[in-house]
Amino acid sequence: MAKILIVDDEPHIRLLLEQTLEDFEDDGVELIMAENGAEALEIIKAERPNLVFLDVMMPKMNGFDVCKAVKNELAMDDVYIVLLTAKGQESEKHQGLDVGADVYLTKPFNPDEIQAMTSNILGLA
Amino acid sequence: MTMYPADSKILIVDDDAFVREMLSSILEASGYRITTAEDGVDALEKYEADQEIQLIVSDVNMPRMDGIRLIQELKARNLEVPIIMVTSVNSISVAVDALSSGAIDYVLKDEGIQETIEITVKRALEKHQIKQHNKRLVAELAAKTREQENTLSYLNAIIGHIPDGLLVTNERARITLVNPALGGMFRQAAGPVVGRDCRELFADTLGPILDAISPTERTAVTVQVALEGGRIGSAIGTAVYRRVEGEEDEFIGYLIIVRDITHQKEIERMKDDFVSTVSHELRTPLTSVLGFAKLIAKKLDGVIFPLVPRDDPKVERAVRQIGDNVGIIITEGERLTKLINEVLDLSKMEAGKVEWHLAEAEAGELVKRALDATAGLFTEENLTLVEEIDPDLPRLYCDHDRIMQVLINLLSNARKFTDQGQIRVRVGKAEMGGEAAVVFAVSDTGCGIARENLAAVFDKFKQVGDLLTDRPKGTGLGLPICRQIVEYHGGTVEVESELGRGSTFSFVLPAAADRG
Repeated sequence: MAKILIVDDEPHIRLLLEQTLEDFEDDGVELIMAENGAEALEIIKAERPNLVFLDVMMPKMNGFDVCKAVKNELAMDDVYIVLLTAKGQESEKHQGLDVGADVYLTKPFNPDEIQAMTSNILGLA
Repeated sequence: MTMYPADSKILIVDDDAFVREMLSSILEASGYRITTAEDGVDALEKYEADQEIQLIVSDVNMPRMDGIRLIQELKARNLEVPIIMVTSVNSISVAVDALSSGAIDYVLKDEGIQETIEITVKRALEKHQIKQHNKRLVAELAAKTREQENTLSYLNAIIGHIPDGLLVTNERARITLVNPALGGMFRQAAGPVVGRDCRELFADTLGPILDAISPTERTAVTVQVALEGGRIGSAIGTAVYRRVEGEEDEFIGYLIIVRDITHQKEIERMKDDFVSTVSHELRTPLTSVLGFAKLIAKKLDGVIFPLVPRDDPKVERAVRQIGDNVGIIITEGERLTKLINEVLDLSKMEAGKVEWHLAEAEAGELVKRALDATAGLFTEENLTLVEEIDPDLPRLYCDHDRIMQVLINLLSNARKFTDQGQIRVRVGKAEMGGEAAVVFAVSDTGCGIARENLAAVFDKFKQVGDLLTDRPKGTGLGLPICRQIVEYHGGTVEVESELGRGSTFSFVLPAAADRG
């Protein structure tokens, strides 16, 4: 059963992503929430989600560091990571891809795009 | 040297009328003008009264005031006049006295005086004139030297007080001058540096600037350098030329000016941080607003509205309005997003912080891609899109995405302000300062721009849309960004318009230089 981890310190953004993705629960996808980077990393290790929507600017551990830990140190290549940033700097995009993120999206994101991307990655047509 | 005038006026002083008479007649015969006095007191009075007297011929022994006293009195009064002493044959010691007191010469009162007086007078006048001339030269020289010293100390005071660092070298990069400010900027410049090799002494900082300056091309080179104490400097270097009359200017060395820009950099960094933070703080709530609005629109259309009975006109109207209103929230949210992106973009461009990805490009290809990207805009039936692309265009060297951004901006602007008629895209050959270039022009048959507003269209937050209430609002930053992009590429933007007839926005980009 596929798992999606949603990581953001803003509760409204978590809620938005949850509502955007809740239709996938009908397909048996499990949605998991985390409020910061450290918590996210623990969950990733324990649950090994297929897809992670990961905020960049967060307390405790930022998204770049989580991404680096997952992709480099833990070498969990099968965890697909979508970085979501509110900064929108071009240099950050390079940084995001350098730490191994699969996709780098700028907020505000389009829910339709998130849904389409999810179906694609999880192979749910 | 000009000779003394032959009719110089001579004062003859003697208590003996016979001698006065004799000397007068001798010298008058030679062309001199003569005046006489009977003793020293009389001579002094006459000399002071007559500015024309150029020489005194005086006896030594006279009543009231003798010749030696006369010399001393003249000297005491600062009166500079040559005196020839006439002395007796047997008193050479008096002659010596007279000379040491300041007489210019002496003649012996003997039978040969007729010949000697004439030659002595002539010599004395010449000698005096040479003396005067030398004195004048010395005075002039002193004045010139003083003037130069003044100029020098004036320049030194200026150089010493320039808050920027200054370094000058000769043509072989040997340091010839530094100012005190430079000493505060570089550890190496704290001690004596004149004569040292700038390239060697400042190998990591100012040295490389000299290599970057081309003595044949007179352009300044600007480099950022590290200063003492972790400060940041901006160094501008240039070659120095001396103007040589009738010849080519002579290259005489290098000049570098260093300005401490630490504070400026700090302000720039704070501004960047500010823009980036504001952008972050705006995006986060905007993500919720826009995201939820889109989810609501979807749920309303997909789940709620189909279940709402439309029999009641009030309900029917409410459903329609809710749908419209959510649509407006989404449109406005997207406009706000665009504004944030463009403010960030423009701020980075103005700060020179954009990463440009330059590559060779085909102008026609860029236009085709821009037209593909905007195809959705041109589906109206009463609006035709005309392309005129010259098939034989020089290649460009540019940032593809950024030039596309400009083209898409111009195309969507044209569409935005044109309801019917024609939008024409033309790409052709052009020239910029004698070099090959490509012109891109987007013309529309839209509302046009009033003449008085034309100059402002490329300014930030100026919109023609401001005057037209029924037009979709933009951000007011599209065209300023276009201008920044085009100007970065060394190109120019232009607009022509006629109110009610349409507008043409165009830009010219220089062709790629022959890149070997």
